[in-house]
Amino acid sequence: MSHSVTTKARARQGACAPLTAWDLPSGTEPRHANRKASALDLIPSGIRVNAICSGFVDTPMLAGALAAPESRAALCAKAPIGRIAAADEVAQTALFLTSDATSYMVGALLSVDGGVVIE
Amino acid sequence: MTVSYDFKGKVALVTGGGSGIGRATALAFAAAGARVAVADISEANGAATVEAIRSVGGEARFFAVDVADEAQVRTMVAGVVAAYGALDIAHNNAGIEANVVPLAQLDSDNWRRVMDVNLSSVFYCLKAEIEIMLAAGQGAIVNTASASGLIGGYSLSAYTATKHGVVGLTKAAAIDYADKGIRINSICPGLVDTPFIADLPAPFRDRLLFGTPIGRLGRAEEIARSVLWLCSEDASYITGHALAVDGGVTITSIGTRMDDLIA
Repeated sequence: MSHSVTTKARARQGACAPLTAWDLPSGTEPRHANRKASALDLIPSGIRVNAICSGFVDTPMLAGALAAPESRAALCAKAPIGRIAAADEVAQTALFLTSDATSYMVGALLSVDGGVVIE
Repeated sequence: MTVSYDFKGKVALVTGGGSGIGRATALAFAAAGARVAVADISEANGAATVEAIRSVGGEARFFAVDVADEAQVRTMVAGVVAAYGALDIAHNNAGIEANVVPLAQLDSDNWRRVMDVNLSSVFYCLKAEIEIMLAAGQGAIVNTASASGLIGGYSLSAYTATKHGVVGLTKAAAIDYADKGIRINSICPGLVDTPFIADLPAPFRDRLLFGTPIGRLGRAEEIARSVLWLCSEDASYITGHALAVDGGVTITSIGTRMDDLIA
């Protein structure tokens, strides 16, 4: 997941920059500035940059918290959808953003967070 | 790389399915195997979409509706369930433009009509659709908002207010039903090559296009693909999101004033 896609050969492919759900509320923070600026810089070359904002995902990063039933339940309860994400659900989003299906998406962010930032 | 979808056995309702984004979405759902309820205020337009779907072997039916009328919306949803036995997916898409004038010149009747058609309609649709989806224990809904649901636009006060309303209504509805198996998202198209945009005064359209980093109008099919994706299992952890499909128009900081274009 790099947005250092610079060769003409890869033009028209989408780059995909990972953020987290908690980067979302403050849209002016550096990571958002970077998303927007890199998207604007690269679109003339036919390179699309978009971002994923994931919530709690079942990955080794959370293995400690997920091992204990109480803390797992607490994490699941934080998202309105009532569960944490499978890594595959984030991967599918990366696939979507880098596919031709998103040919008109530039500098967008896509929350894969079970609704955690809207509550 | 292309992404493909399989909606075989699903029933999808598309309001405003007679033209523009709605027609593209209806065609795409049908191509992916869904049975499609094409709802529109224009029978001629809706019938043309149905015919386009049937001509390539798809299944579709037309439902006449003015989405600003709650009774008609309820009749529409009941009709879809009666015809197809289910309602798995809904794209609440019907909408109109307001008069393009600065706020103080906007006729209050026009304001109310745009509120009714663009925002209250989504509430009526959600209410009727969610009743059916709750009983089934599953469902996916996408409401058409706009880039104007995320940023302000010159001489677009009523339209902007309704589309911000759709984004907010979507978030609130998503929270209410997130743990009931119903996902509700909104889509925020930028400038799309549809009759809707064609009807804008040309100088406005050109100025708006100038502020679009990708440098071209979007195609209705490009919006439809995101609607299908949001309704697919690939988006199973996404709810309450406002997805910009706008060629970058909402990440620019160009304040597009158009005073010079106002007579």
